[in-house]
Amino acid sequence: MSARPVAVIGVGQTHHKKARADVSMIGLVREAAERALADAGCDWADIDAVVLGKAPDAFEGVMQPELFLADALGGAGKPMLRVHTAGSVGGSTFIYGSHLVNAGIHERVLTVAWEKQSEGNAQWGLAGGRSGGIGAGGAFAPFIRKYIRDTDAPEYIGWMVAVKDRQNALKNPYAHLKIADISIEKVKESEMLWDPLRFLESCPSSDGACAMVVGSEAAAAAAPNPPAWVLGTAVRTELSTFPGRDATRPQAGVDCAHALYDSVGITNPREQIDVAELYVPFSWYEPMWLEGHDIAGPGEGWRMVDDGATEIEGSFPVNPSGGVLSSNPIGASGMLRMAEAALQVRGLAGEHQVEGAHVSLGQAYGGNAQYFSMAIFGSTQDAVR
Amino acid sequence: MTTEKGSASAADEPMVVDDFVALTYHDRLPPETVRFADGLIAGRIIGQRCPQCRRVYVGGKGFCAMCVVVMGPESEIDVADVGVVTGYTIITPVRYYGQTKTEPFVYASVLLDGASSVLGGQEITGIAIDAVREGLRVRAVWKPPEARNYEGHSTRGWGSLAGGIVGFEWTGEPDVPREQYKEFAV
Repeated sequence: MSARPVAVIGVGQTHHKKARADVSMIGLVREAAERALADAGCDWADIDAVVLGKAPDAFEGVMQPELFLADALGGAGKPMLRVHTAGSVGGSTFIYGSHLVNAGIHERVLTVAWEKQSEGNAQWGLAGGRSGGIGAGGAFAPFIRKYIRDTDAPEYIGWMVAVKDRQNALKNPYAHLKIADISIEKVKESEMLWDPLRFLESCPSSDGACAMVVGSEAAAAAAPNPPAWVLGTAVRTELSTFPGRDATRPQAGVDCAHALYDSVGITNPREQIDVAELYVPFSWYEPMWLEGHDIAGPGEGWRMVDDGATEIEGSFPVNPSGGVLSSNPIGASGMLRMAEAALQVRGLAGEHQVEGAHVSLGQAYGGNAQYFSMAIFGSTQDAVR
Repeated sequence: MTTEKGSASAADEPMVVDDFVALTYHDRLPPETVRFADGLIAGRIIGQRCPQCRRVYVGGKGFCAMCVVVMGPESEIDVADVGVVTGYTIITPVRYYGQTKTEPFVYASVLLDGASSVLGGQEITGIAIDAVREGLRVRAVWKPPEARNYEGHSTRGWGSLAGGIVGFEWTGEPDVPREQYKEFAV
């Protein structure tokens, strides 16, 4: 894609929790931003522009929070922009920031995404304040039922994903859920919330923020830590519903993936990508996106899960961070996928590092499974082989 | 407004302030929504048929989303009030301000006979909640004429049946084979 190369030079995130009562919204975003700046070896003055993303304002009931957060994020006197793409917003916020560098407009851009769910009520927000709200799980459950029906997947696949991501989260110091005794038994015995989704197959509500500093080649050369090269980005959208829509394999998701792969020379994603961070708020979305982005063929996604391919030691690790199933500050959840994908190719993922990760995929989706943002990161500019 | 202070023993507890604000909106409904709403009050379900692809939208928005061509009053037809459940889940209601549901309820998509677009979020009655399934034949349950109104319509989304129809009930007929509705499932 590159008009000029773009790198992730700094990554920061908060400790994600059910309620971060110790910080305000301002304190929350600054905690992530300061960590990203420290990683990038730069200060607020080195940032040319700020791009902020979060899920709909109704979730906290604070309208246009980018306005009151501008000062705290060093945005005074600088270009600052807010991105809105529902659950995928963290991904598209990062991508938009990368384009500002890619296009030669800025040298260093700070991208920040966050949610403080404890100060609002996302269920109320999703329901538009009316009774009978279904939540995100209720919206996706019929799609999941269709996937299971179309592929004859056994019901334990969802439980396996739920266990795997929570085990990965135990290795991630920032993750919200730490369920040390997580097991298939525990997941299958948890309460059924939206048939076929059980409580432990669902994401938590979290407070948290994520920040990424993106920079030019010169900015990367001046940074103290290794960069992650942003080799390609893609975003796609479709209507929430239309006649003949395949909600289990949305065309926008297929198109987004192929636009991304084509732009970086990936012809066999399963072989050429070393690790993926996919937006999996409900367990079944792991096999669904493996198929929906043509990493696996029809009905092969759940077999990859069944075979252990998506475990941290597997042939195609998915969500070594613990994923959305372990931390869900909604607006930040998409950026956390990009952040982990970047950390992996920088070799800075700590205990959840996938060995030999040189090419990674970050993906986020939102709305009624209709907004997609995806990016490929490399340890070098020619990492895709 | 109510104010709740943390106890003296938990000095680090934040003070929580509930401050409810009400806003009243007046929506100017698009003409096709007004005709659809008036149809429900008259006991009719109005669909819009695309002049190009012939797809039939229920709760038509005045244009075909696939062909991007206008669908005006001349494209409108009556659609049957019977159809098939193409997808569903059972919702365990969560509590939030304004939520009145306390018991699990069915959230189903219904494809009316002759329509190409599904009606999302429908309740299914006349059958046990755990017997609801894809392929179930259902019929609209109409409000009595005097109780019909403009409920649920807004400038957002596909519209609503709530002004005339409270939900769908099982007709008692045999299930519809999946092949017949698969293209429009969920």
